[in-house]
Amino acid sequence: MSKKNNNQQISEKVIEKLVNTVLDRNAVNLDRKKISRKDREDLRQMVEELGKGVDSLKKTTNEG
Amino acid sequence: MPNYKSSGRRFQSERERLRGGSEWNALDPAMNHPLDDETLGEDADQIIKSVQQSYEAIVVRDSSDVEVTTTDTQAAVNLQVALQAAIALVLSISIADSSKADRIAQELTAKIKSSQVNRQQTYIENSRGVRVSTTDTDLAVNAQVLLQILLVLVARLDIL
Repeated sequence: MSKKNNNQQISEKVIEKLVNTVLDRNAVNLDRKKISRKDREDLRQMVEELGKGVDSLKKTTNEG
Repeated sequence: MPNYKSSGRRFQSERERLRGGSEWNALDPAMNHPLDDETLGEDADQIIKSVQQSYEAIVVRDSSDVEVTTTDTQAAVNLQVALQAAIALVLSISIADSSKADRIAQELTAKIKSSQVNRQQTYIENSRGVRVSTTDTDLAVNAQVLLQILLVLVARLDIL
């Protein structure tokens, strides 16, 4: 894992705040569904693959 | 000696053709700036609207053994779409009220859209053995932001 710079950390905090604000405003906790083990595993794999895709794109961009 | 002035004029007319009409003229006070959108400021505190334009032109003349790779722009776009779909999917799986899930997905993606105007112009003239590779950095940035939103979502919704 590479060391994150200040801009990245600020960006992550802003995004976290944005997501939390939107979820809170929509009272998400009152409307949660139980997620099956299979769905959970599928989502985990999906997030992992997308993470790899973004890393690959960033690498391509940096090399360009 | 290559005539760059001549090829520049040709390139400009080609660019006008690609844009489908008259080009914006900075010296003409009657013409609005292409990015001057009056609606942009209306909801500035609620929504960050996106302006996304890409202009790309490649001119290769009197050359041989030329290879131009214009990045994975399409792949990057696909990745963005996949990330947006993943955000919507995570919300629809986690939230019982589907209209609420849709609304949250729209709110999230609407707020993070960023402005980007990309202009890529590549001239290759009277050359041999040239390799050119270009990339679209802003797309990578957008994809990174969408991934961060997805990661925060799965953490907050206790999915992983």
